[in-house]
Amino acid sequence: MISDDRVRELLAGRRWFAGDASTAQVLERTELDCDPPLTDVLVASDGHRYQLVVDADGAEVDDNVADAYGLLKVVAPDEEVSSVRHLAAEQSNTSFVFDERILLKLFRKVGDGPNPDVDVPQALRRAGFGHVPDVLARWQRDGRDLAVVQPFLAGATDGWTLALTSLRQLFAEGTDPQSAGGDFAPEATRLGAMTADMHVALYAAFGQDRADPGLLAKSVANGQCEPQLSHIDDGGALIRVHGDYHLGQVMRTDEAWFVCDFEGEPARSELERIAPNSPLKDVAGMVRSFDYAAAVAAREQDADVHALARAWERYNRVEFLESYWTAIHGSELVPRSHADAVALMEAFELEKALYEVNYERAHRPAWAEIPEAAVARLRA
Amino acid sequence: MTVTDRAVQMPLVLPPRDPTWYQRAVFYEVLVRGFYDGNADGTGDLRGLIEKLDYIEWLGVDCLWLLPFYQSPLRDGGYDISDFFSVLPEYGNDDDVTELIEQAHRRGIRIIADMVMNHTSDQHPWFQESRSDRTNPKADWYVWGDDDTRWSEARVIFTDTESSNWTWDGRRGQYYWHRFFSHQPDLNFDNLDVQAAMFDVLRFWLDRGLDGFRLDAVPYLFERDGTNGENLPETHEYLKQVRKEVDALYPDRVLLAEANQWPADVVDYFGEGDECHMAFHFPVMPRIFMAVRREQRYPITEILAQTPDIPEGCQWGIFLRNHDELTLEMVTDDERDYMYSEYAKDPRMKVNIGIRRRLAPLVENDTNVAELLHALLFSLPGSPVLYYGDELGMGDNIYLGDRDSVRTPMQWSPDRNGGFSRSDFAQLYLPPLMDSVYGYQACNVESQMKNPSSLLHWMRRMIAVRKQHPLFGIGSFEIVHADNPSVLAFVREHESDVVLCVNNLSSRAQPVELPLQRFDGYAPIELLGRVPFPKIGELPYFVTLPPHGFFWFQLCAGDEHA
Repeated sequence: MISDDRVRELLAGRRWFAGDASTAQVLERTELDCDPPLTDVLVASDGHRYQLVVDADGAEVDDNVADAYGLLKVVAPDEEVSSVRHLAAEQSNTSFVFDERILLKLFRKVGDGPNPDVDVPQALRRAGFGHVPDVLARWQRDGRDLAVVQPFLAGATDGWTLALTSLRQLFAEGTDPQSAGGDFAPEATRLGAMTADMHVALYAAFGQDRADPGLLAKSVANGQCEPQLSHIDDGGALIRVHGDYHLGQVMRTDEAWFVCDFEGEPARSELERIAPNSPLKDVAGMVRSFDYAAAVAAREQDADVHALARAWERYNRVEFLESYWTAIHGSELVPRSHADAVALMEAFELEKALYEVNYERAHRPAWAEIPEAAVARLRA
Repeated sequence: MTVTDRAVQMPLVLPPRDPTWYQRAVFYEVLVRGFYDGNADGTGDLRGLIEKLDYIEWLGVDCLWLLPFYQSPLRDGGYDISDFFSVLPEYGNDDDVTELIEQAHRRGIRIIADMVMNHTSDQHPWFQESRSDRTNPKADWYVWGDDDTRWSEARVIFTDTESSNWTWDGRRGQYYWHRFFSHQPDLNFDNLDVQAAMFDVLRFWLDRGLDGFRLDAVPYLFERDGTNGENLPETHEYLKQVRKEVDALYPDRVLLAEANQWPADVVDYFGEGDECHMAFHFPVMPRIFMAVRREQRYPITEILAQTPDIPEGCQWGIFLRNHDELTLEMVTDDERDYMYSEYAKDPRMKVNIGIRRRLAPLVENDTNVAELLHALLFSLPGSPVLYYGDELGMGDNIYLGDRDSVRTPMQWSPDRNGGFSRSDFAQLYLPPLMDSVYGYQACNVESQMKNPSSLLHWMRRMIAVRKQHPLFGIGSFEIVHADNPSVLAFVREHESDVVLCVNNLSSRAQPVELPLQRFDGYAPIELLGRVPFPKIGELPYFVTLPPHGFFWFQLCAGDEHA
């Protein structure tokens, strides 16, 4: 049986562990019946619950990738696999890819109930939305999600990378965004339609409330847009939303786009994350990331490509929104009046930009000018 | 004299038996009118084509596809046939066809030809007899009716010129049915005599040694109430009978369906492997262009993912350009396709609605792009169909109007009329290209043959490499999910032969990591230069590609090439 001290030793310095290892408390140890034999350990630290998986030699699954075979036997006993690798560059969880075909995600931070990153994709698939990876197996104990097995999106590229590629082509060619190579607009169009489909499916899966337009006007962007929103008599619906929707959360595979990571904004509480909100919050999130992509790509360049970057952002924003408005039309999820829907979306955009200003000033002051410029534009 | 008596039985030179030749063949679409003028009258002909068979053999082409060469008033490029059993006099005569087939077969080249079963010209004696009254022996050979609102569900295909599928005939006092031009009345395939007559036509040309037919406009043979008259079960049933007949009497011949529909519908024309041997895959071509324009592989991978498997012994025909195949409306009929919006977004494509230009002007005469596009054509699943002149990078003349712009004379040499004809310039059926970039003085067979680094030599080498590896025709196809979306990589495999194709769709140099762990220990050899590359290991295989570059690697197992 692994000792508390060994557990603290293993915790220290892990990328996914934000607490203080020396004061961590072991909550429970569970022997897993698999080959190699493993022990699942839950630990409390700084008000959060963390998960480790340790083998008979006292090694963490992070450090001994072969242990992942045992873990897969526990989570999805029917899967036969012959190779495994660590999926690099993950912050908050640990994922393994088997045979380049299936993905096992081990949750490191374990909440009090089901994990939205499992719940939501499963519900969306049941509601007929195909743009999320299916849930092949989920591993729960006491109502808490510990791990999930999903198909691996082989060769997928995230939307952020694709957008930057498109921008670099544009800067190199120096023409207008429509005729430059690597045009992103067809992808923006697809993303818009898919986003609308996702919202319709989220509504089908989790239901809705009607938004109170007055409350909405007061709360969005701390009420800064209230004058523009005060006349709205239909605010659309409040539904389960993605919550942290941007280019980095959508993956392009050889067949289609996929939406990932339904855990919501990491800084918010579990309850806030699943609270119903306007779907326009997601739309604004995506639109903001177009602006970010353009600005970040422009910063890579020595020459002044500001005008081209703005042109790219405007062009793709229009394509994305047009496709979203077309696909969501008639669903009653957004304000009936198109002008109201646009005004509300822009209010969410301002809210997001204000959040970004605070974040950048605290963490990356050199980047603060990106959202600051957006705030100025949106207020104008 | 019955129809079959007219078939001259003469000793035939037939190619060696090979029941699946068309799965591995490289096809070459040739416009007889535009290829070579053998009698100096200004128009290409069959004798001219015979003279140029050595060139076609040198290039490595396996099969010629001839556009209709039958008697015709030529109101629709010969697709309006007025006598199925004789040759258009300006092309030559029956003996020329026989000699062409014989000479081609001696060189190991097969020949297929267009055949129009759905309709005839209104000049055809069958129609003239049929319209004379309502009781003549052929009265029921065409589709007549008193009600021009029947079958209103069937769309009008040539909306520019036709307002209805019915046209009034004053002599007979009835409407006749036509899915295409009003001068092309549809034959009535519900009449068994028509079915038998069409069998006779096919037999006549197969007896002459023709290796098969491209069946024009096959979806429309029958009409049924309450349907749109396309892809009906009766049509498939008739095609199956044709296939049975061909298989029984004429081994190794091929039926190639022209059904400009979505792949999921086109596969029906393969039946269970008992209908057509081949069918054109229409959407893959614009997707290849789109992928290069967007510098991303997704347009191609998506369409391949939507392409169903085809029965054993069947094959897709794929092409980059041909005489007029692709118009936007034909491809966008299907709502599953979003191509229209993508084309409309691209002003350069918009100018060329329907892409009725030649390949070289479409890619702005960029040889690297032309080579990349052909590398894709030669390595994606299907048999490639080349269009005459594209092996030189020939241009077009858009001022000649949409159809003729890509039908200018083949450019053989820098001599008068581009070496196409010894006639007077004014006599030519169309003027040859004379501009400084694509004109015959700059772009012709003679000078490219002298230049080993020309597009023509490159094309010949590619065809030769392709023919050394049957896997390009019959091998399995598997996408390698590369991390870089500008790179399209796939593996073709047949028995122990494995080829990895890596294509850079971008105008920039690109790195790519390929998950090839399955081939751990294999040694890649680049097929054009036979240069060995570092062995594949446990880690993803790293390749660097020049702008619009591509590699074909043969993957050699174990110590075979250590």
